[in-house]
Amino acid sequence: MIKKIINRTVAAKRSGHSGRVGGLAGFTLIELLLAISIFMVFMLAATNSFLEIIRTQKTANETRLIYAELRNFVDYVTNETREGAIDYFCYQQDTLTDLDYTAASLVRCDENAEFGLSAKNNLRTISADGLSSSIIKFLPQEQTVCLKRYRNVNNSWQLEEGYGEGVSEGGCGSGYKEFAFANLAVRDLRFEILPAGDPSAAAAQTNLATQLKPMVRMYLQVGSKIDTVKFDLKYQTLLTVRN
Amino acid sequence: MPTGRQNIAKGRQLQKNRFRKRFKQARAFTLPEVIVSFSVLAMVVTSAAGLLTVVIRTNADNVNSLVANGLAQEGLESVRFMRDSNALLGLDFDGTKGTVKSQSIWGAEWAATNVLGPSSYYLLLSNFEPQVNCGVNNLADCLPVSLKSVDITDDIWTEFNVISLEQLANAGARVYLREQNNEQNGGQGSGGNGAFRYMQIGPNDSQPADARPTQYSRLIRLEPLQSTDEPDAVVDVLRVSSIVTWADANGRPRKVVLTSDLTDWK
Repeated sequence: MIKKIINRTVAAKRSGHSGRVGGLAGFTLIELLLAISIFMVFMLAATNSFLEIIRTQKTANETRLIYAELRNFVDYVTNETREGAIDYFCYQQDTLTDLDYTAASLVRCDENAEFGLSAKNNLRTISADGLSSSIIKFLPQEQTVCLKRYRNVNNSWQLEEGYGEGVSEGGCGSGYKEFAFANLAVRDLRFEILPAGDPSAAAAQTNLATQLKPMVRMYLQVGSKIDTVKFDLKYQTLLTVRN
Repeated sequence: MPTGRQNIAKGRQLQKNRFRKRFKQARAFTLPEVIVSFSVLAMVVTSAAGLLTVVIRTNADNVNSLVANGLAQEGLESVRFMRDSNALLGLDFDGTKGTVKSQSIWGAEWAATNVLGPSSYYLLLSNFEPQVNCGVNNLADCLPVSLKSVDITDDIWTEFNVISLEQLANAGARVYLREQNNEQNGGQGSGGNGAFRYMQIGPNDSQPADARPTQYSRLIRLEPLQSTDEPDAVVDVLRVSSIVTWADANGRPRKVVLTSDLTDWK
């Protein structure tokens, strides 16, 4: 085709005609420049819009990743609380000073975690059958969420598979695993436990303040590890124990 | 006399000539026409792109709905907590005791829901520092949550719009965020790693200095479905809805509703 056009152009020149194919008028330089300019303006606008779509899509995808991690963690805490119960046995040790942590029943309580029922950085739960317990601990300085799980085997509390003594992830301490987040930055995590005393304890029977259904109020502040996604989300909810 | 084949050839020639004639007569687009057409095209493309961007951004607004879900869950679980605690405290389903049902420990108005009637709306007030030792006389000081009646009816949902959001906020349903310095986390103060609490403020309570209004409003809706005051009913059933509203990034009203039916299992 191109060859044909060239041949016809050459033939036209030899015959003394203008170089225009078939005698048709072509575009002048001005027309061409104007057309290209208009096209460029249009292309610029279209490209900007296209790039904005790509950028927004990327940010939305990254936000969704963070959202998914957040949902995953919230669901984890919800399940631990609802499927189990507050491990009041461990919490009530904070009033004692001469604890013997080698005692079989106290092994699961972990003397290194900060005790307390009021807006502290840890949550201790025990399963409904009393055979497994877990600790969720937040380290404010390192901004790390740590997990530790115990299982009761023949009246002896042992770390669950994957939680080894001497193994410490993310500065969590012996036996802890880090709750790893790829995109989510946990800035604060606190748990408030109500009532502030075991309702089933004998000493609590006369104190109406403890005769309430146990529940946990969770405060979670998160951000993003991704530079392009900036947000500061403060999440608060309340979970009642179902057992 | 031309043959059929000649006729066909003649017809084709005529068609060719007509095409050539039309092609030679055809006018090109003028510059204004080109500019106008490109402008229209550019407007269509940019507005379509803008629409797409808004759609994607709205999708990302789901993060706000997560906070709203958390607050709604807090409302629903609080009423469940009240129901279960009533049983532990030896009270009736609605938090009252004995024949005098004029007052519930969770807020005087909840007593009215024990009999079948229209739905009623409440604020959820939190006591973040309840007393840890209580008897019968000071029990209210030990309760972490209570309900406060608000003047709202189901009519507010018939046309749920920006005005409805204002009405809810004016009725006291606004959720406040209280941020404090938290030395444990480095004392970075408001906006840093400070401790925070979402809370609702009662109509007669003063707003704490460090509390600021959020975009969220929350209401608890109680609707008695079945009452043992009725001849055939064997158990009280209360439908609880926790409703959180807010405006999304584009100013449109959004709503999360969590509903559960609570029975008097005692």
